[in-house]
Amino acid sequence: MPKAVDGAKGCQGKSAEPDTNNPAVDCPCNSFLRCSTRIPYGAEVWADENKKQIAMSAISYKSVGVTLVLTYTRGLVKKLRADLSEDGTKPLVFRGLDEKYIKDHMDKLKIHNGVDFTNFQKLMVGRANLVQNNLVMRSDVYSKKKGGYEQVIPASGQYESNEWNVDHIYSKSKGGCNRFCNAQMLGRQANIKKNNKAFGCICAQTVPNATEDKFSVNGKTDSELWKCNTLCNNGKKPPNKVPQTPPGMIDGYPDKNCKICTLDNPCEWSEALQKSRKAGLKKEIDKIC
Amino acid sequence: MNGSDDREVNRLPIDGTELWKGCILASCVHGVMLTEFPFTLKEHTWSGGLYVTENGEGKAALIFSEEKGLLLGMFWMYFSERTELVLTDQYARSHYKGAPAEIQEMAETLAELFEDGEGDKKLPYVTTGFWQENGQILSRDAYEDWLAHGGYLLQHQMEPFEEAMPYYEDVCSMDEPRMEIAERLYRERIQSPGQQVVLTKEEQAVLQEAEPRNMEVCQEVFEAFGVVFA
Repeated sequence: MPKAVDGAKGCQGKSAEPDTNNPAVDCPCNSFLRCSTRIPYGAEVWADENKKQIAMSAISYKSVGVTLVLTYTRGLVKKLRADLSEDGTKPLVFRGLDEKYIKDHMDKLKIHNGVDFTNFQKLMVGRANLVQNNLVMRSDVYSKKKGGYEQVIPASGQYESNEWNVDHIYSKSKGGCNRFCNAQMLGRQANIKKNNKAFGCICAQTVPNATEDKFSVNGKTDSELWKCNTLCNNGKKPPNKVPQTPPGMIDGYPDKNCKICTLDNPCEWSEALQKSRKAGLKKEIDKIC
Repeated sequence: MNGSDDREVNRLPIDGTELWKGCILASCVHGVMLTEFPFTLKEHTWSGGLYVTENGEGKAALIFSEEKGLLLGMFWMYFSERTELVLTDQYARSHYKGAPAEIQEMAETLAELFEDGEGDKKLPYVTTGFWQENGQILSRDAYEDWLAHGGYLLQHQMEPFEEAMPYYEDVCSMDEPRMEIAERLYRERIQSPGQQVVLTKEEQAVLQEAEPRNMEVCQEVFEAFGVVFA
């Protein structure tokens, strides 16, 4: 079995039959569990019709010092343009979205380990973050030094230390995947400080075509998802796919034994969350997250 | 990892012309997607012969000369263990030790782009580098170390068109019309390096469709590497 590197230690050489009712206790891959059961970024926004409408609007921004000034609109292009050109600073605009745009991009999205978030994913994360924070873009990680969640801004052409970065919670360089559930918003400085001490993807055990027992993060999107040896095949032989019966599965949505990881579309999650209130799914999610 | 001054000089298997082509391709893709994803604005920038690419993993700067080709590369990989070695600005210079004096001077100036830190305590964070001498690309790092400490940031720029384009299609969320425009601009631009390439009105209309209010910035970005609007 290939040797695991930092971040994948929990899987190495161990095997356990996942207990779907109490995964965190019985499986050694705790980090993997957290990863595979995390809710896709922004699911709460897309679940709320009002928030969703704002998130899909055209959003204009410009940076003034370290502050983000933005306006959102639907069909108020002239007013928006006039408002933002007063001081001559060029505004940049996140285009308005419709359901088709999101669906088309979601359909094309390829999920892999060790690859970047796509521009579309970054756009979705940025929009959800703005709406979650009442139209202020904030880091998702609490900063003790700053006494709160740092305000961040999208790139505006000037150097800003608090420029946004859609970060891989489990580092891309250590096999973290580009699922929405592995995304978080971080300021530039916080991202730099995260440095090489960041965790890798616990489920990454083998790399297709790798010549050595180490991660070969090549950024290609034609490779398979990396695998969790413990969960895929009880640690006995190299697995073929991502876990088929991972501990993070949820009964009843949309099919029996649906795995959360397959529901990475935050928009689909909105439906799941709404249904969950009756079915107890939300309670289930709270329990495992 | 070796971060000390006594490293050997190694020849890196890098073709400066091919790398320039890769940078042009990345920039063409960036330009055509900018109206839709304006937050990528700083990912690829040109200023004369200076190309800078920056993302969540680090920053790389290359200097190209029309006559001599690729002259110098400077890198800061955020996740490199070497960031912990950046204690003085001498460390940034150490990557170019043994290079011709003009290269060293150039590197010292370029290092300002890599300064970071809090308050007055700013230092150039340079985790690896290379320079060109007599047509060879030389580095104080072996190729593998160079990749690990910053060269990795240029991995797609070092790929041929056929390999790089599928990556850009996925990661930049490209559609067919804009892929065609990017390819057309790229092919013309590399065919006549000294000449400007024109983005036609029809092509502009395709880009404008995403978001007309980002066109001005898009035009500036394109013009910086020789693509002008009709």
